[in-house]
Amino acid sequence: MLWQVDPTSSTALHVQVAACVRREMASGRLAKGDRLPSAKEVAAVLDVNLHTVLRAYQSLRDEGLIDLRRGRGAVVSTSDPGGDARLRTLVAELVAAARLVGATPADLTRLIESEFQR
Amino acid sequence: MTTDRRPTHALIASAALAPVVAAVGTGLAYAVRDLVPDPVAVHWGLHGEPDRWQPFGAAVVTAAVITTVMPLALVGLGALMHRSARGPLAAVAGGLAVFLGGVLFGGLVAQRPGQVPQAFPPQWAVPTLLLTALVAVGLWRWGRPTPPEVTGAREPLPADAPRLDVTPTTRLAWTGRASLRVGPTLALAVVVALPLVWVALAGFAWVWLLALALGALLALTLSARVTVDTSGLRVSSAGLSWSRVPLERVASAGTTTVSPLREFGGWGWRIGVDGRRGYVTRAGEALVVHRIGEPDVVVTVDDADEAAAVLNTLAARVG
Repeated sequence: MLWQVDPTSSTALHVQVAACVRREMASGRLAKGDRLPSAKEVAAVLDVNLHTVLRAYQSLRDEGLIDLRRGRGAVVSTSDPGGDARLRTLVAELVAAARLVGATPADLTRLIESEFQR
Repeated sequence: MTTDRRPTHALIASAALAPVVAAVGTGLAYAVRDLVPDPVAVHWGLHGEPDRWQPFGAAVVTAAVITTVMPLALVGLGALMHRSARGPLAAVAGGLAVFLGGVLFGGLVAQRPGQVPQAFPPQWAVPTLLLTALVAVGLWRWGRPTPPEVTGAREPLPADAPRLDVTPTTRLAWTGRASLRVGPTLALAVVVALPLVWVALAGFAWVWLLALALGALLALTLSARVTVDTSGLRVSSAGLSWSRVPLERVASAGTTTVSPLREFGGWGWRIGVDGRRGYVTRAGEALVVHRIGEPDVVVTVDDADEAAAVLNTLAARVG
């Protein structure tokens, strides 16, 4: 699976790590029962702190998307991440992109509203 | 760029080793001819008792022929394959020559009239195994070509190489797995191991160890972790690296479709006839990494296009 984080983005790193997992689930590449790489491995390949990845995995567990078991690692516990998680992923990416181009929350809200009115 | 001749030299050495081992064995056998019974036992049954005898001269000739011909067949195969495969085949052929020589001639010259002949006399079996490992590792190391040095500015990646459209500050990585299907592999392993278990039950306790070691080896190599990050591509099982390709040695990455039997002659970590290295666990989609000055590396993973795009993007950054 693809991992990508941008340390220069103002979105917290652990939110970005969690977004990687959500994106894979939303696209169907991760299914129920699939095992995620260990937090240690993810921390190594992304060159981020282990606690960042652990925090991301914990937030995914709190959302009910993965199970964290001692010895077995992180296992996807739902086949459908649900509309809520899906939207959250998209919004996280949208906000990251908005920050990159310097758009304010008001700009973004306006764009979203106009999209709704189409 | 001069061609590294060491793989070829190692293969030639292993080809020379087989007749030398056979000649030494023959000389040794004739040196102790007066001590050895005639006819001698040349075959043993399941329970370790001899069940076939040959006149001394015929037994020596048989041992010499087997010790020479089987390794030479492997050398012939090595000569047909890509030159980068010569080192590994030299190791197998050289090791086989020592092993066959030790086992066949050892079982012969250790026989004494009035004593029950042993198939694997311990005073021969242990040194033979040690020497086999030593020769195989030595030839493998000798036959390992030094990859050409990457100097100066690298060629830019081909324009059609898949890449990811991300900001240069984005850290990218890709993780995946290449796994043999557990069911068929286990079934095959059991079938292969059955004779071992049978022999073990017949009283050769050390065969249990062999069966256990083979089982552990299989369990470890059943699946490999595939990682792409700033240190390049890594294919490893339980900490053992099958392949590492640093970003500087990546010419480009892409996807391909592999047929394990036709292109690699089987499954697992393989060397193809054309020299490609592959961790091949199934037919179909695979990541292929074109290396600078070395044969390609192939790994059967799902979403290989994504892995290739990550590797290309990271390699382009090294510039």
